[in-house]
Amino acid sequence: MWLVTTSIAAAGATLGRFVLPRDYKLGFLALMLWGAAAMILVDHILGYEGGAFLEKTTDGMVKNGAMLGAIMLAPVLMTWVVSLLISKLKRR
Amino acid sequence: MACFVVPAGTAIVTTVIRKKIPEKYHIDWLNAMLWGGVVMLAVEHVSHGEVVLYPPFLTAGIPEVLPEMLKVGVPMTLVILLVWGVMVAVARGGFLLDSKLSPSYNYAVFGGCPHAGAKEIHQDTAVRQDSV
Repeated sequence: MWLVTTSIAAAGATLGRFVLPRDYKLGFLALMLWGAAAMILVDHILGYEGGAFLEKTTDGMVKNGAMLGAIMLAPVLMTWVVSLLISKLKRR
Repeated sequence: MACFVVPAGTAIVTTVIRKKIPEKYHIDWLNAMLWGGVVMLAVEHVSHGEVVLYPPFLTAGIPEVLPEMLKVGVPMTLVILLVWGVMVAVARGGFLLDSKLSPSYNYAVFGGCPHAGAKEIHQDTAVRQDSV
């Protein structure tokens, strides 16, 4: 399920890149998310052992697949916010 | 298990040498894609208990980790490198096509060198008008 959440987030960031001003650096965020989506897709394909391709539940600490996907987004979003702050400070 | 170690290693190398790579190769695109994937996969692996935040960091042993790195880590890194290569080729595509065209074709189609500034195009046009 985290493949879906990452892909949706990547598509949203890509759309935002064309709609919102360049100051938001959404191209950088979109690149990080598309890179992650591609790597997760390869992981899913090569690690597929039958059954559901997109798992709604996981056997890890976070049981809900969509919730895990949302948590996985957090560090990438944090990196993007920090890069935004740095570029704002540099402009001052 | 540890598939993200391969792209992580690649990302460290490309980040360290990024200033030595010419800007036309857009190494920052590659770095962004690699680090984004590495960070997200690291969180997923922590959730699945395959990675811990204290040494030795990996819960599996080397005999399990190495095949996983070769089977999944190497292909995912290659996919990212391929995507980056295509992006760079597309970004430079226009320039490559234009540079192969004859100056007369460029003038006919673009009214001057397609990459020249407005001033250069104006000067070029003025010279041609003078010669007529």
